[in-house]
Amino acid sequence: MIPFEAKLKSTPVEHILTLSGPLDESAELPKLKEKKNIRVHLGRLTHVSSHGIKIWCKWLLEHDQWPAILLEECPHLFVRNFSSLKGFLTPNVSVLSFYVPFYSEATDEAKDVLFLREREFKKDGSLNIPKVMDSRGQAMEMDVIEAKYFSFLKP
Amino acid sequence: MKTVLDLYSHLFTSTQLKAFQSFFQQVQVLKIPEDLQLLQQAEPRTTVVIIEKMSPYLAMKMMERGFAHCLSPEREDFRQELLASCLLLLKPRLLLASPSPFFLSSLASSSEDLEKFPPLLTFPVRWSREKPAFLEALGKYLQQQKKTQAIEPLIHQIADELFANAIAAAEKSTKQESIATTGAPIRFFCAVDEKSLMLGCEDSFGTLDRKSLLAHLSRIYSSETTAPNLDEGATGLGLKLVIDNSASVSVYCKKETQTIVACTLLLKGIRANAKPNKHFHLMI
Repeated sequence: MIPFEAKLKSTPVEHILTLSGPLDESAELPKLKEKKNIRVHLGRLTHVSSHGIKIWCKWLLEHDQWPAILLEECPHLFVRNFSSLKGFLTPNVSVLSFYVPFYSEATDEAKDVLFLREREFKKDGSLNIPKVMDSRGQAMEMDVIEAKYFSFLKP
Repeated sequence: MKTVLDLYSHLFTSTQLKAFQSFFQQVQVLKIPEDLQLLQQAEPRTTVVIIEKMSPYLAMKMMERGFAHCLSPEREDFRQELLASCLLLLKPRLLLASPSPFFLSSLASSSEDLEKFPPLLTFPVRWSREKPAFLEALGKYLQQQKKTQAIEPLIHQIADELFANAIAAAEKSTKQESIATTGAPIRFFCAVDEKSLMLGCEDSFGTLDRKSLLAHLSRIYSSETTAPNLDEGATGLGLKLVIDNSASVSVYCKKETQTIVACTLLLKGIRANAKPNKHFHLMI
């Protein structure tokens, strides 16, 4: 099992934080000093436990007065918390991209498709759902409860 | 009140009916909302509740009235869960003897067979530091399965929460950081068949309390959103994550003797498990 890792790189305009492994009780998120935008890459997180949720919410609270927190490649289990947990997103957080799972009942295949802002979704909440095919060339379905999963996009 | 035999005998094969007829005759059915007027007279010890538009909140409210089994009728595994509920009401020792295969869709056609069905993965735990090893063993087991890929993120999240809850219960019970010297280890188990996966754990601490558990879950499910506890101690979200990611959840507890928590996940992708029309079994 890959352990949790948080890699931090800072540029003149932003901090870039890349998280990988399980966001669980072992996770430590960095304390940042210089107030500027924080870009967080989440695509390599394997899962998020309830302890991880607590760590994330506390970290967000510590940075809720910062200019902007930009989330990229949010995994499915992370996105599900957006609409069901208070404090999982703060007003200064913007979601720039997130994964949507697709599933084919015919072949049992699963694919995670990256939705990008201004390409598959817009700030006003509208969606442009891509056609995703399984290995037999048949259309796969989004494997989420749409009304709930995308509700965080509503302005 | 009508019995399972009156209402649902058509769901079962003649072999199953022959094997389980006496169970089906003894178990009554309370349909919600249709039978609401019968709520007061229903006997929880011999009644299965069938909730037409299931939500975890509604199930918790029924279980607060003492019922143990709340099922969603529209699910394709309803027949299976109904049979399991009847067995659990009338012959609970079957579950206690061998919890692993209990809610799999291939549930044996005779009750004797249940005792022969071996769990496919078992993992004993004595220390909290064994979590990575447990998750790794589970990951390897899942790699050998053909149909679990789509739901693996759900399985790992549930496994993590079951582990954390079981260890917390053990620490509370033994008042120490390890359970290494306190007798039986916590036993995690996982089994897969054609349509479903069962993941659970069993311990000998029996720390769950029905009233406080239901009060906690009712509060969590009373609104669309919930706030995690950010202070010291548990987040209060562990069991919610287990329920939200599973198609069925079963909890058994005998005080200071035994706890079994087991979840069934359907292999038909994430959405099938995330829907609110779940099955619940709460035997505390």
